[in-house]
Amino acid sequence: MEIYAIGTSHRRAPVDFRERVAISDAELEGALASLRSELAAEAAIVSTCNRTEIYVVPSSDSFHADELRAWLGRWKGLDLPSDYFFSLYACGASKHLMEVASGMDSQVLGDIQILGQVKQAYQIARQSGSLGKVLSRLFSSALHTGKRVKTETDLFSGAASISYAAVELSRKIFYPLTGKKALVVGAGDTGELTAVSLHGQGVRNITVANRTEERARELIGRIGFGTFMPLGDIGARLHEFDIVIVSTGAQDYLITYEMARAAASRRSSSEMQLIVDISVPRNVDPRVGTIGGIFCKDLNDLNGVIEANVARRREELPRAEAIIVEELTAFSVWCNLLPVTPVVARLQQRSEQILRAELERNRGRFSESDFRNVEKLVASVVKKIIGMPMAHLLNSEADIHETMQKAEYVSLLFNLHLDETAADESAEDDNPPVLPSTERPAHASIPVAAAGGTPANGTLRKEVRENA
Amino acid sequence: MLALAKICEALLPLAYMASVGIYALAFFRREDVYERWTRPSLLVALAIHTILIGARTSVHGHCLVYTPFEMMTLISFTITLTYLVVELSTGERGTGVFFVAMALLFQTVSAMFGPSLELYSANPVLLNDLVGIHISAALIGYTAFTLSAVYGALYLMLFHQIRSNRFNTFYERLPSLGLLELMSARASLIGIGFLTVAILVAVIWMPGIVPTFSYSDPKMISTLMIWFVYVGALVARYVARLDARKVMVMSLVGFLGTILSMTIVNLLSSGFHRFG
Repeated sequence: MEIYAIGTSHRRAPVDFRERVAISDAELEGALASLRSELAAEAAIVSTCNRTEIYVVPSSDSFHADELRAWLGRWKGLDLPSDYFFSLYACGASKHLMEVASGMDSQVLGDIQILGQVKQAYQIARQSGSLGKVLSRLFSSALHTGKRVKTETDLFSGAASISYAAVELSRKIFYPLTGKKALVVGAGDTGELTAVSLHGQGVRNITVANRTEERARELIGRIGFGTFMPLGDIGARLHEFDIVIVSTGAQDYLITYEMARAAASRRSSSEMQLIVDISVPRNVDPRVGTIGGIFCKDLNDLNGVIEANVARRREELPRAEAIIVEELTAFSVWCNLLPVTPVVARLQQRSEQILRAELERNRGRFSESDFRNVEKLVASVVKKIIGMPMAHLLNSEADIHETMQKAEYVSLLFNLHLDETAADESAEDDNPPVLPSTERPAHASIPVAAAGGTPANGTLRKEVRENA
Repeated sequence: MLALAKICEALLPLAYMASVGIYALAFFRREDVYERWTRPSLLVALAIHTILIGARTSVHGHCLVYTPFEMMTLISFTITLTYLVVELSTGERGTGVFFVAMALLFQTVSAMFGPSLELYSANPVLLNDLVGIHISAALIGYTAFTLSAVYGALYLMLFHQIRSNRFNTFYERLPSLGLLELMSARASLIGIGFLTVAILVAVIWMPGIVPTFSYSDPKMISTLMIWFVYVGALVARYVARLDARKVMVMSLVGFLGTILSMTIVNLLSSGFHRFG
């Protein structure tokens, strides 16, 4: 498994360094082309605000991972300190990508965005023609792993950001959320994120209040929805809103106890109101929470939600790791079988050629219906005969050198070198050949994954079935 | 058949207990291994319950609506079945532990306080069609109140969690306050409708059917009180626009009244509602 990975992330480097080494979408194609021309047979780059990682299958046997860091330094015109970089090889590199795609390596554990970012990196690399069989398979496996972690564990569940925690709180109180009226006080980043999250949850009636009208209108223009309300109108119109999110830099209370009490008296006691204050210092009088019918939460309260969710996500890590071990084992098996796949493909093609030629030569000796029966019979016999050498070649447990030697013998015995080129072209797909079920060796089992030590008997069978 | 009924009667609380345990583990631990077993465990309990009802019906020769304890086993069955339908249609298993626990409660009370299978004999008056309508309507009404109470209790629990910033498993797994309130109100409304039918049938036709009928029967009075509590709660919610939390408390008070009406009043009183 000749896969190398180097990179830097939030675990190793400060944000200003990460910003400098990040490779933008516009740069990606050029960077991949440069990697392929200088170092790599296959290459892919994952670059987000938190990480820049390069995965390659080197084009030369004498390749060293430091060459990748040197290349990145040249590409970005920077001197890159080695302390800020990790360097991984083979299973380590594969496992790392699977962890990244599963959100296990994210700054916020279980960050759902990373799955989309890895997918995008895969698509760009694929479109630019820098992926071969190995990296293509690795990225597919990593994305599959990420999806499995998402569906089979709770690693991605619950809010892990302040704005989303506020929206999640709204969802826990109101039903349905769609008809509710929301007021976002403050036109900063948090206000914007909250407004977008609320809109994403179906809240269509959103009002933005801000000290400067221009900034509020800019925000409304940017997100494409919402109406403006002057900050001074909060007191008079507070009762109109079911959800109020306050996120400003003001030094005083923008919503006082008296203001909230007056608003509550104008609302029916059956109508609940949620006021979330995510400003520092607080912009909502904490006593507002004592008024009946009002849920008032501040940054500390929401941090409690986030901490609880992150703790729950941490509990999910062993389950996510078990999935990674399974997928890594399957990927390792695929890699182990990769060198013999051209031989197996040639063997299949050769036997198919002989079979077709012999059948055509004798076609006139049979009626149409008899010919079809003979065709089936001969195909079945040929399949069983070639199944025996294939079973030896596709034994994932065998030593790779021994397997390669066997592959050489099979090539000689069946004269496979003669039509190598044509068959190799047909073996260019990503899947290893399918072993005839009757010829699968009984002792063929899957090696224990180096990373986790979980035996995965049956994984090869599953994989072979999927490929079939 | 009597032996089968006895075996099922002994097994059923155990099956419900096992199901409650599995739903609780799935709720708190959120592991696939438990979640996978929730529905099969409930189906096992429901199957035993179905066999029990069938066997008892066969033994007694009539539907099981003639003693409060028979009604309780039917309420337990209806709760389980209703919940299973909800689970199958929505995929939501978050409230399962509470509903199955409620079914277990009713079944346990029924098994503990009900007459023994051998000693049982039904009063012929209970074979009248109007009495059947009265009992069936009351049965559905009480089941609806039970569902309403479970939703109400969950509402109060979640409300308290949010107020006190305790964002634990309950916060994560339960539906929203608004939805719990809506479900509780709808269940109450259905309960009121059916209990109204039961009361009207009783007041209008029962004096002519049941010779010992009395308007001062404790069961009659307690049922009317329960009806008023639930109607009051709905009026408070939708007309007086009372705080939902207070309405939920009223709903729970009504449910406690239902339990009292079906157990203590039956055990202590000697009114015409004792038929067994």
